[in-house]
Amino acid sequence: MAEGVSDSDLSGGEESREEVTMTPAELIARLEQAWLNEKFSPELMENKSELVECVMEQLTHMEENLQRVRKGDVKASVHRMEIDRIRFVLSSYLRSRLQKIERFFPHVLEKEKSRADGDPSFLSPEEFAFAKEFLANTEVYLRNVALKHMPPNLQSIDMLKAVPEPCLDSFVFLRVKERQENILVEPETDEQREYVVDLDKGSQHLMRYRTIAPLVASGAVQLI
Amino acid sequence: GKDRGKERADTIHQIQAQLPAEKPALHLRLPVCDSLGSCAVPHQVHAASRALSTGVIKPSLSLSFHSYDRLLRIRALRWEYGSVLPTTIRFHMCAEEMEWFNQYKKSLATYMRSIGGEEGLDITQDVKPPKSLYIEVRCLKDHGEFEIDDGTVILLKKNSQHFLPRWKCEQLIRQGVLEHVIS
Repeated sequence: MAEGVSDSDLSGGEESREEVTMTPAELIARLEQAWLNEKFSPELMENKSELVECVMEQLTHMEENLQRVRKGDVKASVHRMEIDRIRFVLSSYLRSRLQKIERFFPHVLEKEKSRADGDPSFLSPEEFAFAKEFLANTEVYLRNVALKHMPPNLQSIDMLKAVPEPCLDSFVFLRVKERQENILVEPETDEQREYVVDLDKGSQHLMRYRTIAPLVASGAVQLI
Repeated sequence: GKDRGKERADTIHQIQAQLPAEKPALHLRLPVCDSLGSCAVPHQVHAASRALSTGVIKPSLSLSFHSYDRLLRIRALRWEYGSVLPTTIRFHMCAEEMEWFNQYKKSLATYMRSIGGEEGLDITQDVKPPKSLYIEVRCLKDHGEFEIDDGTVILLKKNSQHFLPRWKCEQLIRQGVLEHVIS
C-alpha cells in the first residue's frame, strides 16, 4: 500500500452506526469488490456512500502526501500511478451505477419509493435526485416530441411498463467467499429437474444471477 | 436550409405507403437513417400520428421508442464529447433534444459535484485504466501554453511532439487537440 499515508485506520462517515476501522489496503480492497459486483451484476446494487466518502478522503490524503515528496523522486511516480488507479476504479464504479440508474430509471425510483424505513437503500440521496431529474426530463421530452402529436387517448406513457426491467436471469461468474450449502438450481426446460449444489469456499461458478443475488449482497460470493 | 416542407411531405408518403388497405397495421417502419441524421423526428411523428388518428394503426409505443433511442445517443454524446457539443452535431438536434441535453448535463454536473462530500469527482474522466504514467503525444492544432504539474510550461504548437503525463492529456486528446503517438 502507499507509503507516507499517515492514517492507519479510517472510520466510516459521521452517520455510521458502527465504528468501522479499516486500513487503507482494506478500504481499497472493499472498493474493488464493490466495483466488480456492480460491474457484473445486471441490477443496481446497494448504495455504498460511506465507502465512496472514505475512498475520496483517502485520495485527498494521497494527493497531499504527493505534494510533499521531492519532485523527480521515483516514489512520486509510484504514488501518482496508485492515485490514478484508485480514481479509475472509483469512477468506473460510479459510472456503472449511473448507467444502470439511467437504464432502469422508473424501476429504480419505484423500488426506492416503496422501500421500508429499515431496509438498505439502493440510491444515495444524490443518485435519487439525479434519477428523479432524469425521469422528469425524459417525460417532458417524450411529451413534446412524440406524445402531444398523438390522439388524446395515447398521450401518456406508463414508464414502468415501457422501460424494461433488469434481467435477473442473466448468467454471472462468481467466486465463493463463504461456503454455501443447498443452493437450488432451477431447471430451464421441461426435461430438466431442479437440484441443489453446495458452493465450496474458493470455488468459481457460472450461474443465474437470480439464484445467488442475496449472496452477492451479503458478501458471501464475489462476482468476477 | 433544408426544405422542411418537402421533407415532411416525403415522410408522410413513405409512411402511408406502408399502410395495408382495409386492415390495421401492427408495425410502422419509420424512414430514418441509422446515424444521428437530420432531425426529422417531430415530422415523422407528426406524420405517423396522422396515420394513428385515422385509426388504421394499432396503438404502439414504437414512435416514442424511436425518440427515446435518439435520446440514448444524445446521452452518449455528453460522455463522448463533453458538455459542449460540436456545431455539426447541434445542427442535427431539434430544440427539444437540446433542452433534454442541457437538463441532463446540469443534472450530471450536480451529481458529480456531490461525490464524496467535498469538491466532487469528474467521472467522465479516467475512462481507461491507467497503463503508463507518461505518453508520447503529437499536437494536432495550435493550443498555446500548457502548464504541467511541476510548473513547467509547454508550448503546444501544431505538429510538435511531447512526452507528457497521461492524466493531463486525456481531456485534450478527447477534444482532438492532441494525438496519442503509439510507436
